[in-house]
Amino acid sequence: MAEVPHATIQEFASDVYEQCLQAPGGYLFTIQELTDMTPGKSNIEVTSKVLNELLRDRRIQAMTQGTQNVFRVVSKEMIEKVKNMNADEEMLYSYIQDAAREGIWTKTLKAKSNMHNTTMSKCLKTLENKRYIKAIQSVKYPTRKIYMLYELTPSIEVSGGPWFTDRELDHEFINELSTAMLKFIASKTIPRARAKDSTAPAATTYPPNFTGYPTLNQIYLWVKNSNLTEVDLAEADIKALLDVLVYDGKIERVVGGTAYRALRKHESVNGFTESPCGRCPVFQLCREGGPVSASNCKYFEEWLEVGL
Amino acid sequence: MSQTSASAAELCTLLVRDIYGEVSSKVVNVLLQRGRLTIGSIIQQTQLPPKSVKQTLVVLIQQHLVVHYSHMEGGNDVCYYECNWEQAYELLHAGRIIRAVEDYFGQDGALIASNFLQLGHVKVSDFLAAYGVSTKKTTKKAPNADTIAIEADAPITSVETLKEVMMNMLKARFLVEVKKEDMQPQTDVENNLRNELRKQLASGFSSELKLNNEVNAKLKIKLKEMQIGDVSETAGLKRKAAPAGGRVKKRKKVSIYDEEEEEIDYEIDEDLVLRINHDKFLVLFRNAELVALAEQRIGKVTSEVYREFLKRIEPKIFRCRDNFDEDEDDDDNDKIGVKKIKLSCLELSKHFDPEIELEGSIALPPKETKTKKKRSYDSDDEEKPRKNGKTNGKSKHDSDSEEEEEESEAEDDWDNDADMDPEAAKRKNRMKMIKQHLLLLAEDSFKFLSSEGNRGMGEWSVNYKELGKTMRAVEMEKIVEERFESTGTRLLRIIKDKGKLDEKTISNIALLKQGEVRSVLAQMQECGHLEVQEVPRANPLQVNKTFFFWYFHEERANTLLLSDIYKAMSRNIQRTNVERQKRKHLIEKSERSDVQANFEEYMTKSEKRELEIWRSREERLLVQLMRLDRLVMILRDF
Repeated sequence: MAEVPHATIQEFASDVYEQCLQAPGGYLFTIQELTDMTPGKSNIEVTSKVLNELLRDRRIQAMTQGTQNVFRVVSKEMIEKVKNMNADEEMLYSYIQDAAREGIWTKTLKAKSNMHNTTMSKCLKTLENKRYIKAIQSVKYPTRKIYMLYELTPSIEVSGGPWFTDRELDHEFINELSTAMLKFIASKTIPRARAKDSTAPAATTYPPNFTGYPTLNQIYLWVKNSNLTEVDLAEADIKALLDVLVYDGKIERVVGGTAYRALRKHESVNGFTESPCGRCPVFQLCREGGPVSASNCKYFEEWLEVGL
Repeated sequence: MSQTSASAAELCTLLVRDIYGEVSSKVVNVLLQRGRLTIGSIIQQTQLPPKSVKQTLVVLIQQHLVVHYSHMEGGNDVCYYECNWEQAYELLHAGRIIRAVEDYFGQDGALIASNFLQLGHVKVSDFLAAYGVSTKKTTKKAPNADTIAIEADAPITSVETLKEVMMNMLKARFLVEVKKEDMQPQTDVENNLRNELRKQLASGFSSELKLNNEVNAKLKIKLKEMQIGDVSETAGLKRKAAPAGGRVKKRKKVSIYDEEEEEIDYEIDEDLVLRINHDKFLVLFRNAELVALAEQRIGKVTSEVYREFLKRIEPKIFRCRDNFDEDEDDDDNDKIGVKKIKLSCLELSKHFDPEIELEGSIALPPKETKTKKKRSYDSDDEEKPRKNGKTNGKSKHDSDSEEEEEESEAEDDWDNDADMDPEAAKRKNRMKMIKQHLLLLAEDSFKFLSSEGNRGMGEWSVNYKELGKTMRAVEMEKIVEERFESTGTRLLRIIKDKGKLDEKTISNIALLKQGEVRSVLAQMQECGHLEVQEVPRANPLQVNKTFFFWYFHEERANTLLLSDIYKAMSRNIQRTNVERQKRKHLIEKSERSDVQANFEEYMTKSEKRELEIWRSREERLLVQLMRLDRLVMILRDF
């Protein structure tokens, strides 16, 4: 069979590429499908040349799915990006791309690319300046420098989930949000004191078998709709927060654990920790005749002074 | 419960010294430190003259602070003495007990109780004879059996009233008969019983093991019978020989049916030797604590309903730990020995305190939720009555008709007389409200009540065992919260809920930083609230290759805390003594009779101020001591 001229191959290649772009994003093409798309049907040789052509231009990307070889189409903008890179940059870029949302540690990058340190940092700098990649910080390894494609958001393992801001557990955010949730639950579960006739004993509870207690879903929707936060929270996150409130003894699960009810704040005042011994730092040493004893105890003195 | 910790021993010694003086406290201290001793060893250890040791022992035995038992040893009877430290601790409860009796039987009762507390145990006839005879006050120190004296500035009008009040107190089990076993150590009582049983059963068993098992099983039942038998005698419910001789005679004459009548004829048996029943008072104190807990948890009115409920079943509860088995493994025993004490709503409402305002104590559910999700939750109690489909008379009380459970026959009766007078309607409404509150109590996650069926508009019982646990947990959490703020309680509850956990998992669940979690956990361990277990991952044991699992051991944590509280109480008493010592001369001066007569004249301004300071300090320390005592009761007795 006559040799197919290179120009024709190129033509075929762009033809196939155009066809591939029609497919929904992220669609994986099998060899068979690509062969079908190639003009001059089922000519293995032509198809392979076309595929090689496409791969060389990085217009498609080879991958494996199970044991099968599959291809993914690369968008035009992507190709533009890659075109502007030199070979080193390109290699680094592809490694970073492969790491996807997990990101890749510079040390791993170096081991994989086998590049010199200075070259690599130079390349990374260029890529970063061009906004192709970005450096992120991991909750797990706060000291490591990790790179990721610019357009991606870090995965939960890296960012630590919605509760982390700047790789630190965001205390204030958690507290604020849980307080707001507590207020919401309380408003639904503790009857408001009636202002009209204050002489009557204020009703403190809803009747038994009351079913107006908010469920997880209701609380979740309320948080969603209340514009309390811009952080995207899943229902599971809200549940984690509710669990914490339960452990704090501020709310409890009712109706077989499906709904929540606010509890009244209990007094933690008790005889032990209120007496000087309950909060004494040298309690273990204290004994009659010892260096610390009831007769020379300054905490007792203080405590008795306050009472006057 | 029977073993003494060092801090408890210290506390008991201090308490005895406060009330019975130096010599008694020395004897008690030796007994607590060394365990059971013969009189010879006591004399040797205390370095006290034999005469005063003997006298002291008499006093202490009279007060039930020391128990004794005689063994045959080498052909001779040897008598051992042992300190009953729990009784010594009970000295602290004197004030509470007198107040509780006052609530029930007024001034007369309080007087009798305070005398009994001072005297330990006493024969009724002696007590009555001493009334009015003695006019001098009993000195606080060393009241012993020979010099019975009663405070005569008493408002008791006659011996008859005295007798009647005493009988009522006996009926209420505030006073109980002193038995031989009360004077002996628990172990000896048990050993005795065991030996007896062994002798009885020895012939029937070939193997030692089988015999042992049988003896143990019988022993348990016997010991229980001892309690239960004792209980029914005083309550006068069984045909067993009653403790009161007078009673036995009467009982033989009168049939069992007209119990009401024969009650009136009762008279206290003057040969009876009585003592204060501390166990019964603990039941009262526990009820009060439960009511307070319910108030905090649900609300004032509900707690008052709870108070009424507990009051109604209280006569049937004899001891705090009586109504649940120590070991749950033998279920059959459980059923024989422990019957559930139930009370129905109907019964409760019959004797319900009319002073308690129930109206408006429960809020109506907000309108929109009511219609939307009324049926989303179906519990057994709710479904059943609905199937019966009774709608008559409901519309009148539409406001909370959804909760009505008109299943029982009682409800039918109510419904039948549709044109009932307003009084009945009010009663019915009131009963419904009571039921609502009872349901609330049962529904709460603390399980103040447990439902026992639907008879008489619903029957309920109280699971004291679980509630005791809950109360202990609540107190423990309070202490942790005060020490480690909400972080501590959060971590404690997580660990309680999940079992053994490592630091990382804990911090994930608690949404706290690992470092923060670690430091709090370590401090909590130091205080004895938590335990940690090391599990090495690899064989050469290294710290960085070891899992550290945190866990909560309830019993151990409670014991440690209790011991700390005893220690704190000791310090409290010691400090009171120190403060008193500092102002010894001043206090002595102020107590002189000539100064008392001319107080303004003889005392300088600064002296008066100093006296004022001392009084307020003493009061403060005493109040604190009582609050610590409350904790001890919850952690140990309830």
